[in-house]
Amino acid sequence: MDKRHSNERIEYIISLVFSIVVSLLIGALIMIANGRSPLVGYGALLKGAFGSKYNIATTFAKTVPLILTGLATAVSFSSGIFNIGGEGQLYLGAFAAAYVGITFISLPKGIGIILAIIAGALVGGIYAYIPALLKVKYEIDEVITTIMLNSVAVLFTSYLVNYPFATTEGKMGGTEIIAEGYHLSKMVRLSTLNTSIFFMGIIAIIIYYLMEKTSAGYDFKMVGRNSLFARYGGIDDKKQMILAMVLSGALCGIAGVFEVLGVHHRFLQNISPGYAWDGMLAALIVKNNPIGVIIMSIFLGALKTGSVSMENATSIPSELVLVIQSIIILFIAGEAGFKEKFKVWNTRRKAKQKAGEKNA
Amino acid sequence: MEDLGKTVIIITHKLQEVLAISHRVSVMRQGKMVGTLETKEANEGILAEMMVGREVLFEQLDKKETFKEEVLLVEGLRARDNRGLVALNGVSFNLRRGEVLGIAGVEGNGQSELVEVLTGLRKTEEGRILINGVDASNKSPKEIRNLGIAHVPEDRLSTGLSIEATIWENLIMGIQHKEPYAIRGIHMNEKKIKDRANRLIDEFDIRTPSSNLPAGKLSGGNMQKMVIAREFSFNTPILIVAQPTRGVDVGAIEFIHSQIIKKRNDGVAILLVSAELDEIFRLSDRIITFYEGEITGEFLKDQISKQEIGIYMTGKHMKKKGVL
Repeated sequence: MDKRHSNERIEYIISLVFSIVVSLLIGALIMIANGRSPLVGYGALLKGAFGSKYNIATTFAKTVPLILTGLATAVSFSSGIFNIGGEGQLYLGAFAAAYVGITFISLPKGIGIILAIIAGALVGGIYAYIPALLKVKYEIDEVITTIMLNSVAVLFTSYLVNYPFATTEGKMGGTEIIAEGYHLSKMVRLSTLNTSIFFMGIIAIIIYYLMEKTSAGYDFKMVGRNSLFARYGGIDDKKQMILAMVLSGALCGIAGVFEVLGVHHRFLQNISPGYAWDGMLAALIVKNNPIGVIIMSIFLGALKTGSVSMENATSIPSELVLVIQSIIILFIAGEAGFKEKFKVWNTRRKAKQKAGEKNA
Repeated sequence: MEDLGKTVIIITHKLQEVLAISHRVSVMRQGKMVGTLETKEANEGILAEMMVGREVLFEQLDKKETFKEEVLLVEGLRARDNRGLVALNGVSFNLRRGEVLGIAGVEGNGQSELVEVLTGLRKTEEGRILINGVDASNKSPKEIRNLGIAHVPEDRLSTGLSIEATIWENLIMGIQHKEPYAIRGIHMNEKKIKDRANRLIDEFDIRTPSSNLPAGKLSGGNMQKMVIAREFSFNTPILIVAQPTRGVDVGAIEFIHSQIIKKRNDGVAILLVSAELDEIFRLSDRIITFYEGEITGEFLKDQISKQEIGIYMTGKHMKKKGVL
């Protein structure tokens, strides 16, 4: 009964897998063109991502910020408001966590961590509230404002940690180490994987449940699909957009919190190498599907981790992974077009066959 | 054109148009040519039958007399359109249970804005709206729905549905936070929601293999039936129905008309806005004419003919009376 609909989802998954395979093949061609063996290259990549306990841990450590910012993107994009300011919200959330961690040093372990998470979520959420309000009240494009607010947040936190909150341990552009009670325990020796992955898991389940199973999630998605229809149906579309943006900002803030509590134990001025952008990438590739975000984040995390080992082992530059990622994006962007072309070609072929039968 | 010896091909689903100007008429259905005949030999019934593939009865609709109690009162409504120009200029009327009040007018004379104001999608500057005596002016769409108005919008694609959302998602809009469809107002009870969707699909003859299909896959007529199914299923005392059969095939028109009359006979107050005079005359008990944001006349259906009403829809009656 549900054939045609589920077909569409399957069609998308097939085109996605197809895109990934073709991009990997193109990556292989590039390796061959440079006189390297793709088998050795991809072997090293795979080994680097999943080859040992340490490598697997590193891969999954990378997925924590990716999944959180990816879900943040999914929440806002599917509600029809576009939060491109994840990076800035992440920085501010991370700084808020560090601030809590160096200020309230005598809190019991669990409470301190929860306080830091709440602080990061709050700061990230409030920072996202500003462009959301501008969008809803004055129709100022949130894509522009959130992009610009990224730089504001990055530069502002950079000022904070170089002047008022600079560590006394030398010039590194960071805060003091947060109190012991805030440290999330590491799970595998030498790797950065820490218990934040469990917190992230809980948050991911909540977001999935919210977006896919509740009437509140229905409201978000209907506003994203057709805001006039949502308003006509009794949903306050403006309120819903603001909520989505704030929730998205809070998730990015939490991603920053975990970088501080779990990885660096202090705020650093370059704390994120663009996690929010990679998270957004993951969400875009899977069309904002929460489960897809998780799978895609693991894939991207593995590519990133593996590429470093590949470079070390085979001297194939790790930038190759960027090429592969970009090609996947290109394919996904053209997905609808490709599919249409294929369908037309297929119908023509069938029509020709039929015509042939008639003539014969 | 014809006099110049040119060939003119007209493609339309309006039967009268074809009958009025063509010499020969061909009917297509589902990508196949059903047949061609001389227009002289054709009439609406024959063409409709060819188009739908079965007999269509444009029979007299059975209208029952009901208790007529006022449920909606509109007084001195003023509103502006999207360009900031006055679209409604002091509009007053009332609507009673068990009647269809038709609003006739050339499109763009304020009917769309009137519907938007009544349903909370547009602000009014002056005047008030009373639903069962409760002031509903400038309330949100949600509050107005709770006061008892359901609304079939004139443009189903922009306002009445989401083409990406599934049919069941479209059909639950408006009651998604209510028990039993949302358990404690939070968890969506997909089974209950889909059961209801399937019931409506049967009841309103929406042709689809499944309620899981995106609404955009439906034909125009079936989309419209979906919108009507949703709004009619809320059992509100007042229904506002705008252009209910625009771009809809003959079979669906017949079905939609009979559903509207069924609601009327059940004692629902119906405000019908349509650009099709035939539709207005077929369904209405009372008719109001609109011209440039003002009401230019009010008639019982039998008091006026289609020819006469045109004069009121174009503002020419004022000239006649010597006002202009």
